[in-house]
Amino acid sequence: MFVQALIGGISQGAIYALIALGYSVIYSTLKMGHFAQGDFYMLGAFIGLSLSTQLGLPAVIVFTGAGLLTSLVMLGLERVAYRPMYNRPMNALLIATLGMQYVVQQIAKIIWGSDVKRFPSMFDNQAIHVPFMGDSIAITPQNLWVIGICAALMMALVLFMKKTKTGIAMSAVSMNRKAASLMGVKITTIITATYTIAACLAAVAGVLMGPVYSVSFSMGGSMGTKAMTAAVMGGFGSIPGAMLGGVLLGIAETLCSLYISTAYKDVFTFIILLIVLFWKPQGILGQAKITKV
Amino acid sequence: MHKTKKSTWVVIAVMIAVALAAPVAVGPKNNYMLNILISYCYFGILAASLNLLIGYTGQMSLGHAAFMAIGGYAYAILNKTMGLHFLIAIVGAVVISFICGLFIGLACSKLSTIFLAMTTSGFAKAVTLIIINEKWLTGGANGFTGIPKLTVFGHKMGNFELYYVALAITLLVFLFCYRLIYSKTGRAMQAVRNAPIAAAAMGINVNGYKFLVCGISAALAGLAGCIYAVNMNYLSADMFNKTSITLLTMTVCGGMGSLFGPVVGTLVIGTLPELLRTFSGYLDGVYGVMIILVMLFMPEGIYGGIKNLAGKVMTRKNAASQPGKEAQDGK
Repeated sequence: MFVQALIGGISQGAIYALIALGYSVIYSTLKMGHFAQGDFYMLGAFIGLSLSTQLGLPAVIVFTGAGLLTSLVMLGLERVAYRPMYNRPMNALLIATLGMQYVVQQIAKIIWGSDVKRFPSMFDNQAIHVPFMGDSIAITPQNLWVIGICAALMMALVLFMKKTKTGIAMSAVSMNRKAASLMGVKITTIITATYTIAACLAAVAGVLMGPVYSVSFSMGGSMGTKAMTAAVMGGFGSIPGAMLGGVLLGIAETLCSLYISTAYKDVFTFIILLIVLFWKPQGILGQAKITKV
Repeated sequence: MHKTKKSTWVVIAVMIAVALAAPVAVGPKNNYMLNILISYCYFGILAASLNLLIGYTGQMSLGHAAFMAIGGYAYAILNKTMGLHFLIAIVGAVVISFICGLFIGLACSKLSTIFLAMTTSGFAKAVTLIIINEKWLTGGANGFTGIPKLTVFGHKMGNFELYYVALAITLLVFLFCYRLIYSKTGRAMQAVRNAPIAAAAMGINVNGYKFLVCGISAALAGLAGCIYAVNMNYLSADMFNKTSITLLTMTVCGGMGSLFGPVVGTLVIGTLPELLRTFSGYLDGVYGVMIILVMLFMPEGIYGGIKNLAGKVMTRKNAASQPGKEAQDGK
């Protein structure tokens, strides 16, 4: 039972990690949050649903298509709503992202309606039984695919940040925005790239999670909050931190609903957030920030 | 010492006069309009309380409706379940929301505003879940029914009388905000918003003020929750779901960091659902677009926009009547 829950928790946590990575990337370049992140997860799930059921495309194309289309939407919205505010006080941008949350929800509501939609599973549903320490554990291929795809994407992101020119420019902007701009890094392009990457990751997470929970226009909010908790837990703005935080939160949540109460799962997430904020606000892998004048 | 201009006092007097005359104009039996008028009162208090937090201290709360829910439920439980007098129940409800606000403030006062926003949005979710699951205390998903009307000296108050009570409380809240903002505490709050490091260097206890304002703001939201509970006679968890976004739109669109802003925001955004009754499915999207548009083009909100426009017109008029003055000022 415990090991079974552990595997479920890791696969759930991998999803949190994927969305939390979006927060981390945005926080490290812009030093601010993006409250609409959870709603791009929702948008990705809906686009994936349309591609998979209405057009009947294979899974690979559904994933890349959902990721790319959601990124395109983000690109458009960023150009219209966010870009004029990069040089203003940060609170303006933060409030605008809150408004964006409702705009994205409204778009989804207009296109796909306000009903809860079932997302047919894209993978084989037959559980694999693995003998382990005397009892047998059922692992669904869905769980394995989720863990596998998330791991691959995280690896790709780390490689992108370390090896490509754009990735290195992102790190430069996160270290010192002014100096990076003096070295010829185009700050606006880099910020746009961060938003696009974040939206793409969230969209893939949405397609992965769609068959597990059904898809509805209001599902982004709670996922966003949980992923943010994961990001804070690991260390806000740190990429390995977001991965670790996501997986830990997933495991903690699954164990909580197994041993304590299912109804209070979200309250438990909030309590974890409070504990982290009181005990170690910089997160597990984050570094304490010293503000210099 | 701060001095308010004579013209401002005239505007305030006119507004109060209109507010006093409004229920008589719509008729004391017109419950639909009276309910809308009372909703202006509690939304006004809520917007003012959120304005203290966002506008004056630069902190963000996404779950302000949670404090309102706590206030409303605390009032309902103290008044109906425990049978206390309504005045004691109101004081109790305000104290309970104050404590909840302080607790959230304690968790976040050391951190940047993003963390407070996150924690409050998580807090709102947690409060909703607790209300739904603790059936014995709150009535669960069916809601809390049968909250009694206020009774003074054996006289049961209808909506007509309740409106005047709510208006009096609202005016007191605005007076409190006015006194607070122009006090030492208020100046410290604005210093914290504008330049936290400089404020700390001047000896202002930055974390302490953030902590305190969280509490005050939550207490005021709790007070609004009490009025809401008395007005509706019924509370349920999903009534508060939409309030957070409405509230944020009111505060942001009305104008952050000014006392008139919440009033303008409440009147404009509070009327919007009634005007857009046929498009009620699009209301959230309209709020979202409004927030973004205001942030893009009028960062000081509708009130700030009007004030700037009026200022420009005035200077132009002055310049026209006194040619040459502008040229001198230019040098």
